[in-house]
Amino acid sequence: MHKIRPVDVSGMVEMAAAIAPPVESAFDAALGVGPECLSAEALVRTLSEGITGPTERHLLGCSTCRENLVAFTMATQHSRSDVVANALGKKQERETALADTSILPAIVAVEDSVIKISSKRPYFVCELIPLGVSAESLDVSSIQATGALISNAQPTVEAANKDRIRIRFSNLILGEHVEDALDNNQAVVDTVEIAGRVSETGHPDKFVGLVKIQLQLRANIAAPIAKSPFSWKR
Amino acid sequence: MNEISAAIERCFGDQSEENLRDLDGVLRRRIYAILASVRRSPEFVEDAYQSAFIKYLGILRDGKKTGINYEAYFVVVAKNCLLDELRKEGKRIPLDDIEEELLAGEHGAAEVEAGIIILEAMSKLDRRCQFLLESHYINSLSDQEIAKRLSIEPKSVPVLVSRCKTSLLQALKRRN
Repeated sequence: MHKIRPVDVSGMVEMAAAIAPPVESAFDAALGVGPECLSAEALVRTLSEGITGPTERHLLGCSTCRENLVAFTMATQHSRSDVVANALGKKQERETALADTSILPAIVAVEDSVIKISSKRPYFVCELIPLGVSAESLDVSSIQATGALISNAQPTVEAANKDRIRIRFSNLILGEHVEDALDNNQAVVDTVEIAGRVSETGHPDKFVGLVKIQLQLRANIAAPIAKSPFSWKR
Repeated sequence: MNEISAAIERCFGDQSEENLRDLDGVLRRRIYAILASVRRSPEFVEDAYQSAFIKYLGILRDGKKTGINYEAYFVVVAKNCLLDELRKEGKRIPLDDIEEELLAGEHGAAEVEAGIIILEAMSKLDRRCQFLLESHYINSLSDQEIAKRLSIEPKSVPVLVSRCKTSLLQALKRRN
């Protein structure tokens, strides 16, 4: 007699869950005037990871998203209370500042978050969009890059207006672990911090912007496959 | 499961200070972003989140119930706390008119739940309607300001608000 195979219901449920389209989180829902506007998740990531071309183009054309970003930044700068201690009825022993009020946040925009490296001393182009001050008030001579890419000279300005400034860092030094990863032909995801001074009074005198990028070697078909195209060691 | 859902899940199992701090860590900035977009006054945002977190603890202590999207629910609770903060300041917010309409109507919502029910229904409308209703009924923006953001004529704003309000009331009826 033909034996009926038992149905693995839990396995089917797991499979269905795995192939089902993800349910949009309430934090991924747009906060502006239309569905293309930035969500809460995107607003948070904009300040900690930077933005790429399409988001920058939306941001520059959408005053509601820009206002949301400024309002969000101001709200985080106001925040100091220990809500957990308060909810548990404990004495507030610490202040948990969400953001440093002495630093003005800036958005760092890159055309593509994947940076292909083909030289020992790469260049890096990004746009800075300061929140709350004119981009013209950023002191270009003070701007430095640190983290995955380290600058050793002031950047050159490629374009500027009151909203944003496009700068180019040349002859950058790679962060040590970036260099090690690239030396092993590995791509690496890391953050570049762009910081400098603000000349406009009545605001914090320092700005900082962060951008998360992926660095990888530009394909070099002439190079041996198992070996890096050139030594990255300093 | 994203990090927020995972943190909520852990807190349902154990409301230890460590788990609650993790939840606060992943939730606070995101809730701030939402509240700041609803009402661009930073002083209300922190107080609203503080009140909301106390409510979250109560919800977590009550235990997990099936069929509830807790991420969405926590957002609605935070928005409702923001409205309460605005009311505390002695401000009558235009949304109160809809609440009264809801309480007087056949929907039978208890006063304490009315705000939550309205905000939950509002969150299911299309983004343009949500923006219109939030701007008009919570943020008290003028028709000119709303029109500028939506790139429409100011005289169209009351018509659109009325249309979105009808959609909201229909959504509330369907809920019952």
